[in-house]
Amino acid sequence: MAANGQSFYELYRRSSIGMALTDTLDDLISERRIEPQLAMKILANFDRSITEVLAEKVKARLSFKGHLDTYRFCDEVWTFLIKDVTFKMENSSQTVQAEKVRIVSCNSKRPGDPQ
Amino acid sequence: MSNTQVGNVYQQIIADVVESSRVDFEEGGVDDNVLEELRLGWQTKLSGLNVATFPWDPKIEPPIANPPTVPSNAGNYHSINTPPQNMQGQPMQQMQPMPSNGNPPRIKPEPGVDSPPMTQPPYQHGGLTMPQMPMAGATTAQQRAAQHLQANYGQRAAASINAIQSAQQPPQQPPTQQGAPFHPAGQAFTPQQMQMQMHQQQQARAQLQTAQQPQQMSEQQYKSFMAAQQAQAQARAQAAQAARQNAQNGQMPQNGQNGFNGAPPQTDGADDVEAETVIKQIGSNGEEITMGRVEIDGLIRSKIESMGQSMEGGGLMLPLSELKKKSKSQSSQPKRTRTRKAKEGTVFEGMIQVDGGDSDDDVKEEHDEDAINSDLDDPDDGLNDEEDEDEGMGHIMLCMYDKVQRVKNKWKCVMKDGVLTVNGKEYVFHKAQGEYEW
Repeated sequence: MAANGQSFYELYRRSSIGMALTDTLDDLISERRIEPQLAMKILANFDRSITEVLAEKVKARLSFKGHLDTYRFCDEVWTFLIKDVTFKMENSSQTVQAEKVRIVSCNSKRPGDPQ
Repeated sequence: MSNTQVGNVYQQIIADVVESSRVDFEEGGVDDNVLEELRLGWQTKLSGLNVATFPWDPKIEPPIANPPTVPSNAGNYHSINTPPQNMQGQPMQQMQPMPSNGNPPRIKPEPGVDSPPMTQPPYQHGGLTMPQMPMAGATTAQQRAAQHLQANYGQRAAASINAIQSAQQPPQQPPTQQGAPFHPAGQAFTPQQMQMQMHQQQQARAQLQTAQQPQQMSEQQYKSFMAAQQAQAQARAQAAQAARQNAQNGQMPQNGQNGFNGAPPQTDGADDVEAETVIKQIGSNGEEITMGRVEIDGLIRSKIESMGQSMEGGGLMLPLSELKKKSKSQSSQPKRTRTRKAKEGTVFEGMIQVDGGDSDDDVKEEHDEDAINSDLDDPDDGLNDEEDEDEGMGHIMLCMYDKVQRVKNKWKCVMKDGVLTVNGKEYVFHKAQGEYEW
């Protein structure tokens, strides 16, 4: 996981794009087209790539309100379960309602980071 | 934050990951095609989730589900990717007919096999590899076979040689059908085996005459069966002849009536399967009980009916799980094989279990073994519960937090660099403010 001596969260592997990647890698591994080690490297590349792209390319903002059902803070990871949540997109009157949403959130300032 | 941004962002991520993985692929000695395949598979899977509109998607929705080889898919974005895929796909498709074409050469010495009217394209294919096979070579093959017979058997072979001449208008029992039975029997074309075959043909012919089978066709099929059963004692084979001919006759009319038109489907090996099934029937029963297709169909139907019954717990409307517990005493492995056999229609034991049931059973057992039965181990409370059901396409926000503050029951959070999946749509954001009370 040490690309340039820096490591990245694996948290985004749970996103749709991450799941799609892991699924595809699983298929390739089970077809014996690639080695699992290679798949791990690709996933590490993905961790880095998505972190960088999200940080650099995405400018959108949003705000959300709701009722906090459960919270948990463990190993520097916040997990919230929010019910009756409303998301408000910036630059548009668009709102998205959801019965519940889970938030998994890692510390943006990593302990080892020079930030 | 917007849903429209997601496509571009993801495309960038994919391109980035693919590029940075290229080195790893090279180091691992994996071909570049695999990397392209990975990219395509990744995109296809992502499109399948339908969380956003992606640049590589075609404009119309339905084709999204199509494999990336679809031209409309490719033209949009990664058109470079499609050629390798097609290149890979096509040889494979072309390869498939080849093996069946590869068979005819093996049986070319079979006199009865030479059917001059064979003009189907596949055989021209086969002709490339084995020039004697096509119609042009039919007579020479016959001559050679006849010569061979004469050399080996002299006078005794006269009848066979005559038969070869008379078999000039053979029914369209095509070489492939004969070829396949030979194939499994591992028959290469060697003189010794030729003799064996000839010998059996003689016997076959004699039998045919005594049985007065009106259909010439069975003669050929017959031979193939004979060859396939070479390993068996000849006496036994002879005993089975009458029965087998019956079975063949059951098959014949179809092929015979179709005549020429009936031949092409057989090149794909469909008839081989049929023939094998019949053979299997004989073999598995030990006895020479030949099951015609109708009988086999009946057997399969009864199996399916019993399976259906087992699904409702033998009419007691028991849940499957309970039923399984009852039958747990049987080890799952034999059960599975039995099921498989039953599918082939070769086993007569009663069917209790549906195919999928056993694996469920296994899982349950594993669970039981692993359980420590502590409340702490119970994954069915709190967050984990929903985590399981949200697996895949749940409502989830993955992000990093800058700040998490709480005053009494009021929470304020500042999140950044997140991916939010909600109501089946995906959003990306740079910053998010959250306020919620507990």
